[in-house]
Amino acid sequence: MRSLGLNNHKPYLLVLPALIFFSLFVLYGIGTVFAESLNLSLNTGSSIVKYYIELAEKPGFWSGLILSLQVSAAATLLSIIIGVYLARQFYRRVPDSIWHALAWLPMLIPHFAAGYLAVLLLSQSGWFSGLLAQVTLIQETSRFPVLVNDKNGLGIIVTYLWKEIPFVLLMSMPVYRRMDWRYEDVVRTLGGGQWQVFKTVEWPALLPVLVETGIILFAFIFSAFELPYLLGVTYPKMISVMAYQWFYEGSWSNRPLAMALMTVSTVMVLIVAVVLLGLIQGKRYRMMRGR
Amino acid sequence: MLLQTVNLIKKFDHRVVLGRVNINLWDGEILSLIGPSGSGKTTLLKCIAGLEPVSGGNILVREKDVTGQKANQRPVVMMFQQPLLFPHLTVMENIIYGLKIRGTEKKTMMAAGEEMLQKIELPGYTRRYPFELSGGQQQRVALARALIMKPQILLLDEPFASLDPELRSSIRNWVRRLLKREEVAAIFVTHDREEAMIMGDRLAVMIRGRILQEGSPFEVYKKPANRDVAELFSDGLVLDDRRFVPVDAITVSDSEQQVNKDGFLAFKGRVAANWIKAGHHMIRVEVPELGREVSLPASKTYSVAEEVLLVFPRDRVYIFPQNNLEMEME
Repeated sequence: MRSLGLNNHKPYLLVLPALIFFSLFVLYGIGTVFAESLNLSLNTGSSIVKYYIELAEKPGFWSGLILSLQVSAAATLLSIIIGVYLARQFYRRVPDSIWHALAWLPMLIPHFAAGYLAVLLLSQSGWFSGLLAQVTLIQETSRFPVLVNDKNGLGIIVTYLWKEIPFVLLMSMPVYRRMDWRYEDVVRTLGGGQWQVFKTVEWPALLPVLVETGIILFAFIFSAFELPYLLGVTYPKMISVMAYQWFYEGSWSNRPLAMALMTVSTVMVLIVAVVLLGLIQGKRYRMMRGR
Repeated sequence: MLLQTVNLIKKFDHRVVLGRVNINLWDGEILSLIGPSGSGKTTLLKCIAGLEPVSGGNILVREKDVTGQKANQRPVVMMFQQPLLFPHLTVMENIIYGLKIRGTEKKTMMAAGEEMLQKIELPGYTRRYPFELSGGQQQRVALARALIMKPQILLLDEPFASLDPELRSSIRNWVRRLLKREEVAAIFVTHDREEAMIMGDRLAVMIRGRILQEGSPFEVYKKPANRDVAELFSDGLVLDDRRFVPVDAITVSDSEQQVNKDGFLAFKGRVAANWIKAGHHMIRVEVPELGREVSLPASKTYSVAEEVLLVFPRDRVYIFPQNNLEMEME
C-alpha cells in the first residue's frame, strides 16, 4: 500500500529533472535578463523602463527590428514552402536512405560553417561569380549580384534556407508517410483534383506540424546571431547582432540596453508562438491530430 | 445502356487481377457484385470510378468511352468500405463537399445539404463532427455525400462491412429504398450472399478476376453456371466439377431404407455442428467421400458426431452448363 503513494507522485518525480533544468537555466535566465533590463536605481528620479525608452530612440533599432522580422519571416515561410514541396515530391519516389542523407547532410554542418560556405560560394569574389566570369556569362565578378553582406539580408535568407529546408523535410516527411491516402480516392471520386487533395487531405494533417516547425524556425532565426554577424551589413543590423555587440563591448554602459533588446525579442517570439499555436487549437485541428 | 465494360483488363505488375470483364448496368438498376475476398471486386469498381488505370479494354457510359477520363470527370461516384468522412469538416461540410468543388452557389448547396440530411434521417446534425456519430450514422453521411452529386452511377464497395450484423440488415433495406427513390443506378459489391440477394435487382458473380455468371439472384441460386458459383452462391452438395444437388432435394436419414430404392443416391456423413435458424433445426454435415460439407435443415435434432445419410433422388442431380476446366483454359 505504501508504494501506492509513491506511484501517485511518480509522474511528478519523473518530470522533476526537466523541471529543475527548465527553471534553473531558462526561467532564471529570462528573469535575470529582464531584471537587468530594468532601471532599478530609482533614486535618480528616472523611469524604471529607462533603457526601453532609450532603446526605442536608439538609431538603427527600428530598422534592425524590421530587418530581423523580415529575414525571419521570409526564411521561415520559404523553408516551409520549399520543404513541403520537396517532401511531396520525395515521399513516393525517393527511397528513404537517399532523402535521409540529403536532409541530414546540411543539418550536420554548423550555422557558422554554413555562413562561411556562403561567403566562399556566393560573394562577389566567391566561386560562383568566378565561375560565371570564367565562362563569360558575366563580364567581371563585380557584375555578380550582391548576395552576401547585402542590405536586405538575402545572403542570410539563402543560407538559412539551405540549413532549414532539410529540417522542414525531416518534420513533414513522417506526416506524408502516415497520411491516410484512402481519402485521396474520396476527394477524386467527388470531383476534386490535385489541389483539392492537397487542401483537404494533406494540409490539415500538415498544419499542426508546420506551425510547430515554423515557430521553432522563427524563434531560432530571429534570435541567432552568427549568420547575420557573418553575412549582414553594418546598417541595418539584425537585433541579435546589436544585442551581441552591446553585450560584449568594452564599456558596460550598453549592457542594460542589450538586456532590454533580448527581453523585447523574447516577448516577440512568445507572441508569435502564442498566436500561431492558438490558431491550431481550434476544434477542427485537434480532431485532425487526435485521430 | 448506362454502363458497359468491354473486355476490361487490369494487371498489377504481371499479375492479372481482372481478366476481360464484361458487365452491363441499366438505368435505375442495382447490380449486386458478389465474390470472395481478393476476387477483384474492389479493383473493378476503382477502374470504373477512374481511381485505377486499366491495362486493357474499355469503359462506356451511355455508349461514350470514358476509359481515358480522370476520376473527377466521370459521372460516377464511389463509396468505400469505411465511411472516410473528413474528420476536420462538419457533417454538413462533408455532405456538400463535392458540390463546393463543383462551384455550386452557396444557397443552393446549403438547401441541397439540408434536404440530404432529412433523407438520411439525421436532421439537426449539421454542425456535428464525424467523431460524434456512430458507425451507421457515419456511413449514412458518406452515402449522402455521394448522392448529393446526383451521379449517374453509384459504386458501393461493401459499405456495410464495418457495421455490426443487426445494424447492417436494417441499413441495407433503408439504402435500397433510398437508391430506388432517387432512381440511382448502382453496383453493390459484397461477399455476403444474403446481402447480394436483398440489394440487387440483378447479380454478377466474380471469382478470380472473372465474371462467371450474371442473372437474377434466384436464377443464379437455382442454376449455378459451374462449381465455383455453386460453392459460393447456392446451397447444396457439389458432387464433382460437373454435378450438384440443391439442398431442397436432400433429406437427412438415419436408416438405409430409402437408399435401396431405385432412383435414389445416398452419401454417408457425420454431423459437424447444429443450430437453429429462423425456427428450423439446422445441421452441418461432413461428407468424407466427397471431402465436402453441406448445411441443411433437419426434421429432428441430431447430436454432433452422429452418423447420418444424405439421400436425394437421382433426377434432382443438376449438371453445370459450364465446365470449370474449360473456363480455366479459356
